[in-house]
Amino acid sequence: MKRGQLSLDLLFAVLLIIVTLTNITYLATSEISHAESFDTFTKVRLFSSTLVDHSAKVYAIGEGYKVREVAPDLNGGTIRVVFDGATNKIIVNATVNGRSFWIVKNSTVPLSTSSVNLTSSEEFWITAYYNTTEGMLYVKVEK
Amino acid sequence: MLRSKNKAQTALEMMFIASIILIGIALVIPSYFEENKDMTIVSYVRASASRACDYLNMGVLTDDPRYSPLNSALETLNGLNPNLRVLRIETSQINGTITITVVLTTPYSAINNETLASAVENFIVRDLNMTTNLILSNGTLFYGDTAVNIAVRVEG
Repeated sequence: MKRGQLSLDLLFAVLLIIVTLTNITYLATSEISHAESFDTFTKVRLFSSTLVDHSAKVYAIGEGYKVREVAPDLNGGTIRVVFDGATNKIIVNATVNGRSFWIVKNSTVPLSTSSVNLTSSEEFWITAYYNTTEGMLYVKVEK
Repeated sequence: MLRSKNKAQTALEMMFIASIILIGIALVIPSYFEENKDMTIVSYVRASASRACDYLNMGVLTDDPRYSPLNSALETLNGLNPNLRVLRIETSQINGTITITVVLTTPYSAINNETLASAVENFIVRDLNMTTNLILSNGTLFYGDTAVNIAVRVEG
């Protein structure tokens, strides 16, 4: 009799624990898809900051200087890097699993309008070049 | 004779104890479920609010429909990291309606708080409707038969 009583108590305690656990599991699964998006956000953000930083360095060193860049690994996604000379902005546009992610950054140095399309971990270059007709140094991207 | 009387007494005592346990359980379980429901809703809102902050702080835009309410607010920030974070969450419950107030904070006073707050509010409502078991009906969120009101405030 006493044993039976104990197991009844235990059963209800287990029920309450299961209710709580189910809730936590549900919350965790809904977090996973968001976490995957944030993985891409972080990579795109980091990549764009690197581009701004390196284009400034290339400009500072001067004509003919090149820096090799590697596109981040986006689980099979593609990246388009655009240097917009008109507005002097660096635009990084990534496409992962049909979703588009983009960021627009202001460049601190003059840019020449140019763009590259990249796949994951593909190499490209940031180049400083001297425009003889304008007499100005510009930074551009090329493969 | 004495033996069987003793047995009956023990059985009666056991029934008494069992009934006390059962009444106790009957009292505990509904309030436990109620509490669990409130906790679930609050943790959903909290997770969603901090996601909105992360998205705005990150500055990367996406065409993911979940984040679309935040995109216009993010564009008006113009590349500035707003350093948003969830300061506190206030809840109040009146007759089956839970009102959850999310207070966000940013060190920049120049940021238009109204636009940001309404964008985050729209995001939370959409996000909860799409990714959790809260349902949006006639502009109000429902969890079972409980109405959930969300209000967002940004403090400078």
